[in-house]
Amino acid sequence: MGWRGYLRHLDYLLLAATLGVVAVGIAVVYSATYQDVEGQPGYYAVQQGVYAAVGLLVLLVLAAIDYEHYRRWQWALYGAMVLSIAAVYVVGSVTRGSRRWIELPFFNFQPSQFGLLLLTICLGAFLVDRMELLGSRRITAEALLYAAVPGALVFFQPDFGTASVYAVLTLALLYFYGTRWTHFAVLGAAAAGAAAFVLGVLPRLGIEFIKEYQMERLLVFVDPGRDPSGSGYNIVQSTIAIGSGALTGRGAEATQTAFDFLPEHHTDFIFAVIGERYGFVGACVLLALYGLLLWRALRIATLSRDMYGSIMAGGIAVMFLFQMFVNIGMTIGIMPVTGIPLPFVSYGGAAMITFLMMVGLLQSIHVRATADPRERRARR
Amino acid sequence: MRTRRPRQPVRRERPIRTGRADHPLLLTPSIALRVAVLVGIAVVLVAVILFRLWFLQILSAGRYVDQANDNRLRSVEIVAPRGAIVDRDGKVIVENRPGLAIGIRPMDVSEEDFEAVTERLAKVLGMRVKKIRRELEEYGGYPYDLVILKEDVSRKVVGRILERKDLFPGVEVQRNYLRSYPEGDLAAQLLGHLGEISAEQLKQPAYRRYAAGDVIGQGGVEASYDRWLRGRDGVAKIEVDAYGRPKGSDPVGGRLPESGDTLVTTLDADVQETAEKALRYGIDLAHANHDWAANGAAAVVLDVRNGEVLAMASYPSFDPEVYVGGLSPKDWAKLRKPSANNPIVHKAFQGLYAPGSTYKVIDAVAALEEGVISPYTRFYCNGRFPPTGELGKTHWNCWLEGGHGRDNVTEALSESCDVFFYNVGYAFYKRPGSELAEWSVRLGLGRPTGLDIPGEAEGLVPTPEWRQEYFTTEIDKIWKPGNSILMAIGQGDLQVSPLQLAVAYAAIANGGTIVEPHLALKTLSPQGKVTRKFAFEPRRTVEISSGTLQQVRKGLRMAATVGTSAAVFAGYPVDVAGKTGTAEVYGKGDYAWYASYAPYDDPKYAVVVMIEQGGHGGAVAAPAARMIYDALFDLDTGLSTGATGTD
Repeated sequence: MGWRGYLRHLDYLLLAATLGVVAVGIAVVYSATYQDVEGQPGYYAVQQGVYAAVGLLVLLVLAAIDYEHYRRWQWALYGAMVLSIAAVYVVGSVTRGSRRWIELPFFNFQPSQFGLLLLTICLGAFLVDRMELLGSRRITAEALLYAAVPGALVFFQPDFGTASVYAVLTLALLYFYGTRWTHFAVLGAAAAGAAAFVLGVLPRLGIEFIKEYQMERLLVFVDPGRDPSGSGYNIVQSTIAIGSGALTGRGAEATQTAFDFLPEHHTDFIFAVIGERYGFVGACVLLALYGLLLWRALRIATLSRDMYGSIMAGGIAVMFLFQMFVNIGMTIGIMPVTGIPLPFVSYGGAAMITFLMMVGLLQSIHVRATADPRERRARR
Repeated sequence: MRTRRPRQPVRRERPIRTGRADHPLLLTPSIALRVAVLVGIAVVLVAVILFRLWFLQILSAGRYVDQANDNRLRSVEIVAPRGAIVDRDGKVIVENRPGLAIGIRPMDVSEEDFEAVTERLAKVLGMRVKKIRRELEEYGGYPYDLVILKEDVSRKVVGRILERKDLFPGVEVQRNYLRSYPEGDLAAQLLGHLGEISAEQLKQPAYRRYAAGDVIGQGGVEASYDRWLRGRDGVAKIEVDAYGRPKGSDPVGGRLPESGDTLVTTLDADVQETAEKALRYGIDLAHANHDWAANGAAAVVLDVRNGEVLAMASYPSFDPEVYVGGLSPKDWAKLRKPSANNPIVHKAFQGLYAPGSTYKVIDAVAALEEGVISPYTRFYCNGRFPPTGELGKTHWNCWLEGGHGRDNVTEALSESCDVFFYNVGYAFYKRPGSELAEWSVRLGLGRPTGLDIPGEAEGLVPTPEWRQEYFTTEIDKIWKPGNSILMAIGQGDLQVSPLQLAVAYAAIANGGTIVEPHLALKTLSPQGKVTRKFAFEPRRTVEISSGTLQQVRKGLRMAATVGTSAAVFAGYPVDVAGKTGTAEVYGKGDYAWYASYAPYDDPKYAVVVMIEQGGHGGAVAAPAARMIYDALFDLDTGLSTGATGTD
């Protein structure tokens, strides 16, 4: 397939939605941070722009590569993923009691983010290589174990939020693989039992499986008024920010962000900045862009020329949906506080580049699906 | 892609079971179903978000806008300048001056700097490091508040801090108002000082409208008239960020402070100054008479017609400046040491003393009114009472050896004959009830006079009932003839304040009206308009027959012309009527008194002077009183030295 074919078969609507969300994100990062670095109002926005540019470049490259190659390299990629996440324990830098990053000269590399893409590729390959086992308990158990290795490594960094994305991604891949509904029912029951055991039984035995701050976040989620100036502060302030945005937002008069009442306003709580500055209308525009993204991703899952592409596209769609919902839900007080970024919008290079690479993978699937000669013939 | 390229052979051994040409595809019905289910889930989740956003941003928007405004706006109190305190002619006694305070904003001092900064600050401010650190650690407010460490810091010290701002991170200078006293220590004990409201005060109903941290008048007129003096603090609403740092310099709203009203007092600064001088003069006289122990004194000048206090002096005094910006422990120790003789206590209304012979006026009124004696009653004085052995071996001497001979009541008052009043006291002893005590209380002794500043002493007029209650041994519980006899000459357990005595003498002068002594006349707005006139109605009127008044007044006048204070007041341009007193105090020198009023025919002022351990009243207290009369009537009669050897 030549260049022209490649260009002709890109999903331009997906690309437009992606570029739209990224542009909104950079604009919001700017408005959230123009006072943060003295003398350099655009510091964070420019950084974010650079990450986005790098990410777009990688996106276009990935779109050109036939994803079929990844399948052959499955185990090598899996090994690289596990090793890189494990490396954080050795050379990672500590932020707020958690090791998540490896400091590189220009960039803080976060293997757990990048690992989400790798897990999609590897577990997808693992599953489609065992298509004949579809429906058996064995393949479900193997897939869970397969994903549990990197997932556990992330969980114990500790990074509860990203670990939960690993779990949801694994389930999504199994879901699109075609795992039986009964298996999901059993898994759901087991998860509920485990949660009850961890939250209810272990603390009474004096075993600290989840960290105190995580427990506190859960309690605050249940009752935000519990400690409005302490652990509930973030939720309270972000709810005030969003609520005060009203229908069309407070624009330049937004004080929650400008006067630093809202913590993490360019990363985890960036949706509150959108809500405050641009109001309900602005939030709806962003949600519409996400809707477009999701639609295109799921459409690619159905268009894919093979199971491998369908599983990966579906997994990526679920990841977008899950992260968007958990992040927005956190800022409006309907989900507990976790460090899950808002896709394409939250400031941060690792997440931005990873999300754009996922779009690149989607494009690759799209290109291969629509450019398949047999499909074209069928259409004719 | 126009031509179909030949298919590449599969390179790997392991067949790829899905996708590519060998397993053509591949959109299973399962994928379609699962995508559809996921779309359903996505729709639900987005709907949840939209519903919640609609609730927050459309339905509850107003509430959250308010909360966001609460967040960003902080009210900063602007302290209103406090009103001045002036004398009756407008002469300023207390005013404001701008002061500089040094404070620290804990938020702006990093932890590693804390030790060094507090140490440097302690050195520059002359404070102890420990105290600074304790104050900062115990501060309960926000970390962005300015914690004031020292008020009234000199410009030199402020300059040293501002010059090296880098050495003092978080240290700030604040401008505020401080009290200043252009007349120095004039009337120091009457004024009171400013201080933060205490926890106990906050609990009292009188301080209902105040809040913790308010600086209020403590003691004196500053406390009594705080309501008018303090004005109304203003509020500036300023925009702040999450750390409380102001975002702009201009307030976005609020209310301007309103200056406090000026308090016009009844004091006459000239008379007050003279009274204070007179007390020093009286003490000097006492020292000249070898009464070396004399070290404290009090004077009261009361308008007998309405109870206005023209002057009230107490010696020793202090410089009220020591309280400005907080009393230092060193100054406090100085004020409290025994040899200082309580300079912060106003002896005229907070000190209690045996009134000595000045009390004989009350005897005379009571005895005449109760019919114990008549104007024609005469008692023989041979220097001793009782003349016969009526009370066994016990006897009481008159101050004049050899006696005064046969005196009626006016002569007895004039010459201060003790024996005459021993007789009166003994006569009261033999009568039922405690008429003398009742008359004493009626005329204002032994109870607070109602002075309009806090801390007034009560005093004591002894009665048999009081003895019964106060003492423990049976013999002490009994009211004996000696108790009545000693009380009649103002000794024994009788305790009055000079102010109470002044009120009693004012009643003699004005015909029985018990005035309420007070220091406040009116308040003036900053524009000079009268905002409030204070009315102090007389507390009561005591029925005293004109005959009695005439006898007593005559006795007092005679005392000043031919009697015990004649050496001081005979020939004085204004007709003074006054009684000397020399009260004996166990283990101490005699307490000298002079209680008087003038002019004799048209009484205007009552003047009472008391000098602790000053010796004879006629020798030290009366000359001091004469100085005060000079000031009251604008006279210049020079100094008199009085006469020793009298009562």
